[in-house]
Formats: sequence, C-alpha cells, structure tokens
Amino acid sequence: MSSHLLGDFEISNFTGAILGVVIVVGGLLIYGFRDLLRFSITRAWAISSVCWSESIRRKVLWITPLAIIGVIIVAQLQRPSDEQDAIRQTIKFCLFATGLLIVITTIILAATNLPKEIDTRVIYTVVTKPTTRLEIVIGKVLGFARVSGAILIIMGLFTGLYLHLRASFLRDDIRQRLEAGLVNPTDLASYQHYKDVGLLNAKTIEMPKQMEVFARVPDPKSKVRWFSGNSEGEALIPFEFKKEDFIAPDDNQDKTPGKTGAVALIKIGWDQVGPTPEEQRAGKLPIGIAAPDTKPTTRIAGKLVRAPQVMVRVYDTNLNQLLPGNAVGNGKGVDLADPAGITPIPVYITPQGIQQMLQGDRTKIFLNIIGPNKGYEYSIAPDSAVLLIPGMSEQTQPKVLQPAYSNNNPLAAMPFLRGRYGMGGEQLPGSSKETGPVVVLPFSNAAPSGSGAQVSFQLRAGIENSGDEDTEKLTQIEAVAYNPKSGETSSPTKFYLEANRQTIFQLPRGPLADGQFEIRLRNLTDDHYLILRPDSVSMIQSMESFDFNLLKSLFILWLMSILVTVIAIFCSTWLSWPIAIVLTLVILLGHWGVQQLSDTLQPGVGNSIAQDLGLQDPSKAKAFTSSYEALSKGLVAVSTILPDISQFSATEDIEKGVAIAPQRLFDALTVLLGFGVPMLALSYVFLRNKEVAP
Amino acid sequence: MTLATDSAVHTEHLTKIYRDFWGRDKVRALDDLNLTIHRGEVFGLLGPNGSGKSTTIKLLLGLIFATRGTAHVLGQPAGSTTINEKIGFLPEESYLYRFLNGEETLKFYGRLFKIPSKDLKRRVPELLDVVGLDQKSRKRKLREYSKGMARRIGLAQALINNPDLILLDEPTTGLDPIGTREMKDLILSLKEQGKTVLLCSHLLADVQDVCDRITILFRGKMQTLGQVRDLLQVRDITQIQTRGMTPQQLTEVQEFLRRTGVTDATITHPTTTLEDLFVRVVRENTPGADPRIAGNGQ
Ligand SMILES: Nc1ncnc2c1ncn2[C@@H]1O[C@H](COP(=O)(O)OP(=O)(O)OP(=O)(O)O)[C@@H](O)[C@H]1O
Ligand SMILES: [Mg+2]
Repeated sequence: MSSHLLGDFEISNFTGAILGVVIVVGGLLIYGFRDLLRFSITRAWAISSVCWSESIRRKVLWITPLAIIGVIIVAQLQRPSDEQDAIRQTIKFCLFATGLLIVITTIILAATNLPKEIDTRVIYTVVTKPTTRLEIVIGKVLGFARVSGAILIIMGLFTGLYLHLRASFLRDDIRQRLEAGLVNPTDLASYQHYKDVGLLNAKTIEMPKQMEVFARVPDPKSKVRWFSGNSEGEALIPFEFKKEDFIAPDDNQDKTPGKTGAVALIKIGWDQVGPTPEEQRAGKLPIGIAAPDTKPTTRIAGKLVRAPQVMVRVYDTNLNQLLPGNAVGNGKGVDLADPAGITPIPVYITPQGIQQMLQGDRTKIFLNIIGPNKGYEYSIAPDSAVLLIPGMSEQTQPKVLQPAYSNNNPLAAMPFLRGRYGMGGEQLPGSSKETGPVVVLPFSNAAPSGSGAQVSFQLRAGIENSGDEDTEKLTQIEAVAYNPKSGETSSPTKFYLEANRQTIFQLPRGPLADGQFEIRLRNLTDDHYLILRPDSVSMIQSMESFDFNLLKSLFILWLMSILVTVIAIFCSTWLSWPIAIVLTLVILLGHWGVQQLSDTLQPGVGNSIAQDLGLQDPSKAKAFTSSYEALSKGLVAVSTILPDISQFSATEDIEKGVAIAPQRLFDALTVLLGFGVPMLALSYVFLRNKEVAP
Repeated sequence: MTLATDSAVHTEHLTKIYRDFWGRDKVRALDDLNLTIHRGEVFGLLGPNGSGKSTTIKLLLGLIFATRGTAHVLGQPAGSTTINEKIGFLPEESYLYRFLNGEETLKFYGRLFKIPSKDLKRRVPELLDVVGLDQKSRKRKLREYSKGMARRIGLAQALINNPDLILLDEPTTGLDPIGTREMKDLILSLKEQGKTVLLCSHLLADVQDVCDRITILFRGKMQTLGQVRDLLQVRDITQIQTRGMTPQQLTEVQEFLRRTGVTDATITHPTTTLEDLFVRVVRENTPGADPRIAGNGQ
C-alpha cells in the first residue's frame, strides 16, 4: 500500500537534501560570504539579549505558572488504571503542556518580532550599525532559543518535582499494600518491581531479534523443529531466484520462464500427539454405531484417523499469500507418508502460478507449510523443501532450487516457524501438560548491566480464550532463559499475566550474562491463547536516572522550539505577522498532515473518486483523475521537503519509562540542522534583499 | 572615481521610486540627485515635508535601495555594513527599544560596534552627560521618556561609536530652546573635531547657524546648492554701512558717490534670512500654489 508513497518519499527526500545544500551553499557561502566572514558572536549575542529582555519585560514567562496550574488541574481529573499508569499520564500532561507552551510562545514571539521592529522602525538603528543581516537573523534565533530554554527549565523543574512527589506517594502506597497482602496475583511481580526500583525510571530496553513459535522445545542437538497442527503453527522457507531460474532446463526456444511450472518437493515428518476429531467422536459414541464417514480417513497402526496432512502455499516477503489456492497443489492438502519425513512428496505449482510469482521483478518468496489437521505435530528440517523446475520432456533432469538460508545469520539458517497469525500477533496456545507450544525469543548482544542475581524482563501480550471456559481463570506463564553456547538453562519462572498490561518477570542472570541467549515462554493455561508480537517481550538492560531522561526529552523539545523559531522568522522576513504565523503552522504540520492523508493520495485513488462522483464521460473522468493525481503527487513532493516534526517526539519513550536513545537526540538534531540551516540561509537572503523601511 | 572615494557622501543620479505591491510606480520620492558632501563640512539638507530628505538619508544608509543611480558613503557603496562602523545616525524620530532603559540602550548599540565592556563602562555615562540625560532618567525605560529625552538618547546612540560621518534627521525637533542651542553647539564641536555632519531640518535658523553648505530639495529634486553665505547674497543691491554719520555727511557722501569713488565706507551685500530664500525657492517651483500642500501631493 504505502510502498509507492515511500518510494517517492525517498527520492524527494534526496531532492530535499540537495535543495538544502544548494540553499546553504548559494545563500550563505556564496551570496553571504562576506557577512559570514564578518560574523560576530558578540553582535549576535547582543541582539539575542534584546529579544530576551523584551520577552522577560513583557512577562512572557508568566505563562509558565498558568500552564503549571493547568497541568495540576488536569492531573486531578485523570483516571489511571494503576500507579504506573498514573505516572505515565502525569508525564504526558506535563510534557504535552510544556511542548505546546513553547511552540505557541516561540511562534508568536518569533513571527511578530521582525515585522514589529520594521513597523516601529527600531530596525533602522540596528541595521545602520555594523550588524549584518545574518547576525540579526541568528541573533533573533538565539534570543528566542534562550526564551524557550527558560520556559523549558521552569517547566522541567516543575515536572521533575511534581513527578518525584507523586511517585514517592504512590510507591509508599504500593509498599503498604504489598505488606498487607492486598495485591492481585497478576500484579504481584510488577508491584514487587515498582517497590524495588520505584515508579520513575528510565530503562534501556533490549528487544529480541525475532520470535518463533514451536510445538516443542527445540532440541539443541538436532536440526529438526516442530510446529503444531490444527493450523496453529506454520513453517516458512525462503527461496531467492532470478527469472531465468524458472526457464525449463530443456527449453531452447522462447525461454519463457515458468512454462513448465515448478514442483515443491517437501519432506515433512509428523507425530500424533492427541486424538483426532474422528477418534474423539468415535470414543464418545455408543458401541455399535459407526462414526459418520465425513472425510477420507486412513488407518495408521491399526487406528482410524484423519491422515496427517500439510498444505503448501506461496507467500510474498510481507508474508501475505501470493498465489491463489488452486495454483499450488491444486489447493488441496497432501497426505504425508512416513512419520520420519523421509519420503519426498511433490506439490505442483502451475505455470500461471509461477508467472504470477515472477511479476514485478520479484526475487524472493516464502514457501508456507501448514498442518491443518488436529491431533498431530509436524517436523521440519533445513533440507525439508526444494523447488524443482521440470523439463519440457519427462526425460530431462529438473533444475533444483535450494532454499535461501543464510550461512552467516543463525536466525535465517533454518525454516522459520510461527504461530497462527492474527490481528494482534501470533498465537501461543496454552497447555498445562509437561510439554507444549513454546515461544522462542533469541537475544543477541544483550548483556544485562548491573550485578543483581536476577534480571527483569517485561511482557505485554493479549489474551484470548476459547469456548465457554470460565473467564475468571488467570493466565499463567512460564519463562526460561537458555544459553545456546553454554547449554545452560535457567530454572523456570512462573507468573500470572493480565491482558495488554505490562508485567515484569525475573530470570536468573547466569544464562543471560554473555548477552547471547534465548527466552522461552510457555503458556500453562489450557484454552487460553497468548497473542504475542516480537516486541511483546523485552529485557530491562539497565536503569538510567529519570531526571536525566527528562533532561533529554526537554532538550528535544528545545531543539524543536529552535526549529519553530527559525521557520517563524523565515516567514516573517517576507510576510506580515498574522500570515507568518499561519504559514509557520502550515510548514510545521505539512509533513505530518500529508502523512495523515497518505491513503487518499495514493495513485489510483483519483480514478475511484471520479467513479464515485459519477463522472460518466470518460474524457472528463480522465481529466479529473489526472489532475487529482498531479495534485496529490505535488502535495506529497512538497510535504517531503517540509520538516518531519515527528522526529521531535520527546514524550513517547519517557512516558513508557524507557530511556531516550541517543539516536533520538541525533534524529531531532538532524531535522533541526537539515531544515533549520537552509531556512536560516533563506531568511538571511530574504532579509538582505528587503527594504527594512515599512 | 576620486569624488566617490574622497568625499564623505557622493551620489550620482540617485533616484528612488516607491512602488506599490504590483510594482507600479507610486511616488517618485527622489529624482536624479547629484550631491557631494566633503569631509569635514556641515551640510544642510532642506526641503518641505515629503520632499525626499529622509528618503535620501535612508538610501545613504542602505535602509532602502535606489531605483537608479549610485551613492557612495565614505568611499564605499551605500549600505555596506563595514562602513557603518564610522557612521552615526539619528532618525527623524527616536526608533529605539522602548523596554530598555537609557544605559542599556547605549550598551546594546555599543556592543554592536564590538566596543569592549570596559570602554563602554566609561563611554556610556560620558555620552549621557554630553546629551544631557540626568542620572535618574538613565535608569528609566525609554517608553517613559519625554520626546526631548528620547531625542537625546537617540543622539547619544548615534555618537556611541565616535563616528566620522553623522546623519541627523531633524535633530532639534522636540528639543527645548536650551536643548536646541546645545545641539547646535554639539554640531559645531563635531565639526571642530573634523567630522562630517549631514543635517536635515525644517528649523531654518538652526541650519543657517551651523551649516557650511546647504541644498534645498523639492519634490525629490535638488533646487539649490551652495555656501550658505553665497546663497543668501542678494547681488543687485549694494549696502553701505558707516557708524555715526550725520545727515549732512550722508548727503555729502551721496553727492560724492554721484561723482566719484568712496574711501571711508564699507560697502557690503545685505543678506535676507534663510527663511526668505526657502519660501522663494519653493514658490518659484509651485506656480500659484501653497508650497506645503504642493510638496505633499502628487
Ligand atoms: N515607504 C514609502 N512608500 C511610499 N512612499 C513613500 C514611502 N516613504 C516615503 N514615501 C514618499 O516619499 C516622499 C518623500 O518622503 P520623505 O520621507 O523622504 O520626505 P521628507 O523630506 O523626509 O519629509 P518630512 O520633512 O516630512 O520628513 C513622500 O512623498 C512620501 O510620501
Ligand atoms: Mg523626513
């Protein structure tokens, strides 16, 4: 969907960068070379001091107590779900108010400043001094950066104090409730954690590199992996190819790829782990009445069962089904023969299927193997599938296409197994038995810092339960840490989980110490399904100070306010202040706005709108469509040279209690410099060519 | 161009046409001005309201850009920031930051010249003394200043850098008679220090007292230029001045003059006032109209 937009974006992002460089080089280095050489920080600072004094004497800082009162009032109205949530919401209010405050203040101050000085002609006495226009522009930016900095310091101090106060009250409360034994079992692990580390924290988080769902705990000595039947698990095998790979080996004429189709040769083992539905029914029926013969059944080892079967499908790299069902194996499941999976079984892919697969210069697909029948588990190994490209005549030896496993990346060296895939993520079925489906989350370079015996992890997952089970039942999870190198496995940690709420659990440091490990989760509650995504589990690698985190987020806000100032000043060099304010907002929100509109700006939308409008006349419809497409292309192009203010997201991480990564600061700085410096150069050029007389 | 580089101000065909938003000509504020002001002289720029005096000054300072022609100031093209180091400018009204006090204002402008704070500490009170702002008012915000006080602080900021060329746009407006006198003394003392002063004023007596040369602008055009004394000479009248002459002697002198030359009498050309000249120049160019109205209208 959005890939087209994204593609366009990258190209125009590049043009945007070129444009920026051209403006800076042309405006500052060439046109403004003399002024650049003459630039004096003393003068710029003097000018900034005037902006500062003006704001102070106009009592701009008095809006901070107003904002603080607002925040306190709103904080009284919040309805948090728990203590951590209360803190999260408070952080959000405080930072939102702060951000809003500095954006509004800087826009108004910066956009009105130059027009006002020109209007009152104060500018006469400034430009007739040896001040260059560059110093004026930079001095003003500096001045308003000082004002927004002061606002940020005041708001930051308030936020810090207020949060510390609230957090310490709430922590006392938690401590008392823990001591009195008034805590729900699902909250116990988390509350213990809050009691230990407090509610105001800034963790650095390590994420797993991927997530796989197996039917059984993988055996480190074997390359065989198991996935569940009943469509609860599936295997994905990557294939990479060129078009020519699908030319039949004996096709010496027109060499059309895919003419002979292809054959997926699969070797899948199986194991019966429970009754099939037929057996279940047969067992329950009174003696003498035969079970209704619904589907072809087989007798295996003397027992009447529905045969172990797999279905093969072709997926694209986004793991969406690529070919229609009837193109692969006629859309039917194939019965498996021996449980060991030694006998290869062919699954035919039609020539049309191959041709469709090769469309759009596709070079990679996944073969998807799924076991629909209940009661079995299926085994797969790296040599379980190849693609054959048969010859035109039966005598010709087919070409063999091996799976595209990676030798360097152990995560991509085997078939990839996942759980049943739904909206919220992958399912992990619950089982109270000794063995059962397991989620494996490999971590790498994730050595925990500190030295405690236990390392904390956090888990947030959805929970679904099947059937008419009593819903009061708690979901119990078992977590184990495993180190593939040393073979060390930790003792299991068991804890209760509530749907979609962060829960903290601890694992012993031993197997985690070298940072190369797996976390394995099992769901111990029958009929409950855990809904997991790769980011559902993370390790709390270390704890930073909250105050430092707050400082970082304020710094990001400060960078944003500088960008706002530059834009506002740029607009005010050639517009009257009311229009400058509006234009500043448009520039700030343009990128974001077009992103919001991206669905309606897709190519092809124009056509459907034309249809919706009932434009019968084809030439009219065509005219409408093409002008719509041109307009939306133009909008997208314009938006890409506007700054992406989402890079200044200062609140997200700190709200979640996650330490703001240096990368975020870097991103914010990049947007500020990448956009701000060209804007500054333009402001300078505009101002130098402006008659500053009203 | 020696004139351009040697003189304090030199303009050639300097023209300014104000245009409206659509680029159409609105006002021809200055028309083909050729003017040379020598270093060290006090030059008066006269003219009725709207004749282009302030426009000339703004052009010389680079506040606005010429439509045609060139202007050089102290040997460099008008509006170049480097030359501003040596220029002092007092605008027609005191356009200063109203939320700063007197001292802060001077310090701010001093910093724009990169004057070290040590020197500023000395120079600021000195200047405030020169322009006659007392201790109390130095600490008050400019928005509380009276018109004359604002004028004085404006003058002080124009002198903060000890400029070589000083442009004064109607410096005496708003000043009391004492202030006016002091202003005139100041201009003369600046002249003594070898500085060039360009003075715009309506107060003709002031101009007459201090200026070496003047020009009169009308409707953007230069009408007259020259030494004040020359311009005020009335050449077709001869005046004979003596002291203590009796009527009898006078008749004898007249008798004598009728026949032969004179020995004991100073004969000079009488001067009219500048005001007479001013009104005459404006009248000559405005057939049958009041000069002021004519000056403003188009
Ligand atoms: N920004 C402007 N836009 C349009 N016309 C202007 C502008 N500034 C000045 N003018 C016009 O230019 C002409 C000259 O104005 P200028 O200010 O130079 O007069 P002046 O000689 O200084 O008058 P005064 O004695 O009243 O100060 C006037 O007709 C004025 O209306
Ligand atoms: Mg004027």
